[in-house]
Amino acid sequence: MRQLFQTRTILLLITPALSFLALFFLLPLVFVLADSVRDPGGLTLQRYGDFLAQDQTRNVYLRTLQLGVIVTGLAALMGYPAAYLIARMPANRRALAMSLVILPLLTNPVARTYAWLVILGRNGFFNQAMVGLGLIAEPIRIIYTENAIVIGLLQLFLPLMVLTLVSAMENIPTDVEEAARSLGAGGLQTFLRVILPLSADGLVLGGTLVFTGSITAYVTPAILGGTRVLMLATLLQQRAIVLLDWSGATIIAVVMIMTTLLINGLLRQLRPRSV
Amino acid sequence: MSFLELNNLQVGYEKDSSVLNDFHLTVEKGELVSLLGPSGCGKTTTLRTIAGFIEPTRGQVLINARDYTRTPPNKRNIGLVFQSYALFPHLSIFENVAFGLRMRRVNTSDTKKRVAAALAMVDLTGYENRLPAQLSGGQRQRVALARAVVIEPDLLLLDEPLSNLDAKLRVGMRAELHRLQRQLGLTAVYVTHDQVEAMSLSDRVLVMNKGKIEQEGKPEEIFYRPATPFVARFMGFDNQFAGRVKNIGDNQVEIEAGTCRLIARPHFIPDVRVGDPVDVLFRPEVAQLARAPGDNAIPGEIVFRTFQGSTGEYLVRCALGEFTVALAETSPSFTPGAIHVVVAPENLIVEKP
Amino acid sequence: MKKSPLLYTAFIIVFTFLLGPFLVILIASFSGDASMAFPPKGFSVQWFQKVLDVRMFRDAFWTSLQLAVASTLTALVLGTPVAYALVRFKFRGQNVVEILFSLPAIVPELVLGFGLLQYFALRMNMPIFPGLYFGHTAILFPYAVRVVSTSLRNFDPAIEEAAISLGASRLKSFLLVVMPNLRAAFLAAFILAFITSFNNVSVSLFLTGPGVATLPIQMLAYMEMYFDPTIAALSSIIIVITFAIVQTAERAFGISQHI
Repeated sequence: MRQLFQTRTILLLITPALSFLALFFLLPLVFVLADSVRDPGGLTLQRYGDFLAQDQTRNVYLRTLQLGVIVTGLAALMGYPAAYLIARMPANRRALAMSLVILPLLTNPVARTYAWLVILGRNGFFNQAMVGLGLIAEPIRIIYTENAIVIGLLQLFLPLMVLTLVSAMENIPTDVEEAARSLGAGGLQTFLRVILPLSADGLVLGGTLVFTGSITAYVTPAILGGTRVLMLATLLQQRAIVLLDWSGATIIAVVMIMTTLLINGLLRQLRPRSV
Repeated sequence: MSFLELNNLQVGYEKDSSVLNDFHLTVEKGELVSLLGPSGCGKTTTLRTIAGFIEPTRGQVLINARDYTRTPPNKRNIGLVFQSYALFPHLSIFENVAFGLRMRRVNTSDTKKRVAAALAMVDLTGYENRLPAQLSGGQRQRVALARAVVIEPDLLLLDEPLSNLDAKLRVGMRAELHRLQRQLGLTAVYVTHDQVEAMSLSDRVLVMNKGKIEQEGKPEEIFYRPATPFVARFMGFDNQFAGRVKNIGDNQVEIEAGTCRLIARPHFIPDVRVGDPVDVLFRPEVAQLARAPGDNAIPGEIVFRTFQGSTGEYLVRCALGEFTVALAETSPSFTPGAIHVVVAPENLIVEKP
Repeated sequence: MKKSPLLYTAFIIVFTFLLGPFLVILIASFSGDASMAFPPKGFSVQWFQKVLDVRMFRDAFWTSLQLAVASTLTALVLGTPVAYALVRFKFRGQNVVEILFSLPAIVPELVLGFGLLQYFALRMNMPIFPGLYFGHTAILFPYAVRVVSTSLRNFDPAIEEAAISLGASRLKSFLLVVMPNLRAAFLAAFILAFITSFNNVSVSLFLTGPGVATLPIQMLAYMEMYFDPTIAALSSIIIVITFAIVQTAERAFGISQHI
């Protein structure tokens, strides 16, 4: 059913923002995309072939995906118990817990990551404590390893997982759980057979956010991985700004976009239809 | 020329039951007309089209002989009362009622006077500084009413205004609404799915189904002489059995159903011939119970009786089907066992199946 | 229902992991000497003093503040009508519009910055600040549109129609009736968008240049040159302010639901 003057009103409402988005968001992306396949002689996919053929770029790409998977898995593992307890808290305590959980997301990324330098450095808190406790003989190197990147990314993106899981689990009535318990299911069984399936949508959504966030984050790998352990984002920065290799950077940029869009699209398919 | 006319109205393209097709409606000045029907019958669509929130694809909306079809809703001078009250949560009761006057740039002293008068009319003097959240449901609906009438609208539209109130409050508000509408001489269109509400308030009732008017008439006509099977069921003709036309006489039909012979003298006799199968319907309240057989009596057996406040309801199992009979509590009660259901000929209606 | 101690242990580990680093950096910033050891040697507030003295931090702070306010306001002013159209109307291409305005949250910000650098800054000689402003505004659209449309969806459309039937135009009814009732949502959207812009590195990375840098970019640059507790002190200040804002915002209107 049409409302009076609908078409004109809608155009009036969305045109300004849409023009802005088209000009300063879509256009640069389209240019990047076009440049990645343009060649003096015409169109080419050659540079994408090179991207996959060259050891460095291929390894960085695979590492990026691999670290993304690890961070996502750990976030799910750590996120579930925390989210479960938060979802079952009384409202005022839940608000407090949530405001603490989201802190890493809303803190200046340099400040947040810098803390890990202090903790994980060669003479950092962690090494001192481990040596002091006699667990290791001498300090080990954590900074500029994949482990450091995983730790940093996990702190950043775990909150996203907890947030989505909490809102998924809030909608599971306690009765359902109690029903499962009364029917003889243990704690683990209740989780696997009731809570997990009912919160699966939140898990998929949270997983998508954590994974795509992890494979595109810049500050964490820049500070905690340095030039020694590159990820796609830091490689892109290096190619563009340090090496001034624009066409190489362009390919990396497109690979990043395509990977995130692909993951988003794929995982959207995975989400239950009813939601 | 009527005060409000909807001519040949068409709304929407889809084959949707809430969409109107070739719709006509006239309302005279000072009249209250109800649109009655189940949800999705198109009654709210009609109301929203009159208000100007929906643009018809064809047809005309005339108010006081002026074509309003393409006039935006804020230029129509129509008062609207919503099911959800739709008060402005952030404004005081005074400012809620004054809103329409402010839009019309009425000066301060007139605004004060008119708001005070409107609030007095709905018995809410002294509530000016409260917020809507501090009022009860009934009070909120009265504010909504005051807000709609203070602008002296050409037309008052009410969309299920009482359905969010509890049963007791509803009866009181109904009377109040009726009084106000008469007192102010307002022309009103009232949308409801509640037949009792429509019956008690309206000068005229339009029963709607699937975007069409099934029947139009005074409340009594609709109530006692439903013209179509749909209206009959909607008006509470809950008992139904199948029979065959035995004889057609002057304004009456003789019907054979099982072993029974019944005379029906309905307002409306469908186009049937002797020997045709028909459905016969009657209301629970019009039936009587009798131990002895007699005219227009259907033999059966009382299955059980439930107490319903002012009435006692009997479920009677007959060879023709199960019937509900509602008797006033003052009438003698019947114990389970053999019985006859007696329905006067005027109370039976006949339909083609 | 009884919850197992295992569950609580996991819960405590998660919170320690998420918040512990903030505590560490707070303590380290009061270090007595220039080493970044933890626990710190000695106690002083000299590094806080130094943060205030460093000119490039002060300049960067102002740049970030102006940038965040400008891009947040733009995203809200342009994004609110979009949210309104999406919630209050049904139209062809609605899905596309919806996806389009969520896209800046999905597309890697680094790539957007890279694109803006190549095609606007380098080829069209766009000055630095406008470049940053356009990039930041683009990534804030999803916040503005999402937060406003969520709360608009929960706002009874009949209230707006009541205002319109009483003679208000659509715009008037939005300004006089909808806006005042959606104050909390607008504030939540503002705070979220502001923080997002103020913290942003990925879009800014390619777009900052000589003379104009945002605070986080300046912090990164400083870290490459010096390794003393100045950054820790600055980080501490930022963390405490963020903490205060988030606490207040969560209490006032549950900001975590809007992320």
